[in-house]
Amino acid sequence: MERRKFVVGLGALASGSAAAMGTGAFSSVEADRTISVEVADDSNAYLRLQGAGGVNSDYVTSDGTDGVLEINLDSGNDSIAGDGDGVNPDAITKIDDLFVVENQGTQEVEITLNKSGDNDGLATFYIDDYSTTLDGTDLTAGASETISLEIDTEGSGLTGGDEILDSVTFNADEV
Amino acid sequence: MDRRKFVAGLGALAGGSALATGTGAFSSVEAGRNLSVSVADDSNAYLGIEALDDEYIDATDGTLDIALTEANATDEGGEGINANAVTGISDLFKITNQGSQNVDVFAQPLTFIQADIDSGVESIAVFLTPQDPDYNFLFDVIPIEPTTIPGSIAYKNVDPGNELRFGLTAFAAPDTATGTVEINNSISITAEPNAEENP
Repeated sequence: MERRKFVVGLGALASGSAAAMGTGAFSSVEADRTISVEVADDSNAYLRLQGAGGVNSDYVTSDGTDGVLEINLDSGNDSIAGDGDGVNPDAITKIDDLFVVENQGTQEVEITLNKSGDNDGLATFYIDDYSTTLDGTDLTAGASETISLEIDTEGSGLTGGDEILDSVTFNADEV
Repeated sequence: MDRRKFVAGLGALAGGSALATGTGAFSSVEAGRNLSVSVADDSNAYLGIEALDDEYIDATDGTLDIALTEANATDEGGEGINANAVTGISDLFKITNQGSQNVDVFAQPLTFIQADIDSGVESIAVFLTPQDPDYNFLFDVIPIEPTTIPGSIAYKNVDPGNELRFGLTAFAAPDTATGTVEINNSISITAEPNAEENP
């Protein structure tokens, strides 16, 4: 039984080989290639998000060098030097140079934002001097922008404890 | 018994020899022929495996390795995917039939998943995404309710010169996924002659 099986196997191999040689082509190729993917800190990822440092770094509770960027303008942030718990009602609050967005990938991308929160329309992210919004800004590979935040509660009727923003999704899409 | 067998063997050998010399044929020939085989880089081999975006590919040893890692950082300093994010890369690499005949190409697996066993929370999933949807290919799917995950892919009848492009989608979650999970695996790419086109 064992011997017969072996002979049949040989025959099949021989005819297969002959057919392949007849066409002059390669009979088969098998190649194993590695794939490795790591999760980087936000500061080192393809879309870099990192606290800008400086005077307003108290609002940045995690600057992206050890995990993900987190910004906290509420009573849960005990790092504020003056102990404030949030923005004023009926006021325009501007926080300059809060964090940096950089394209560390390989091609130009457009940055768009999806904000979520009970009053997320009151918060706007600007590049540099509040003349251009981050939402819709194009970044070539290697380009970065320092982002400032404006929160406008004027005429909104919001009072202490009301939520403005809960999270922001940064989209970077190939242009 | 042993002796008889030996004699019979000799007789057969002699007969064969007489027949050969009777035809006036050569008794032996030794001819040297050049048979040259060289190893090509993946990009130039018969089964071409070539980067489309070489910053995410490490091809320093001549083979294509997909590497979204600190060791293979982009020119701009990107060392990996963001946590709590979905990263998509199109036109990552391509497989080209650089041989002489029509082949079937198989690539597997296309899905890579890892979870942090200790926490059971942090996880990463990477999907190699075929970019030639109009091509005549077949998915072998792993059924996982309520959706399906492509486990391998077979492209039928890839003519010489034709190429198959792949991208990548990666997903890591939650925020704490940084440094806790990573994919370190391999993909097998096989090309065989199409049985119908090459009987």
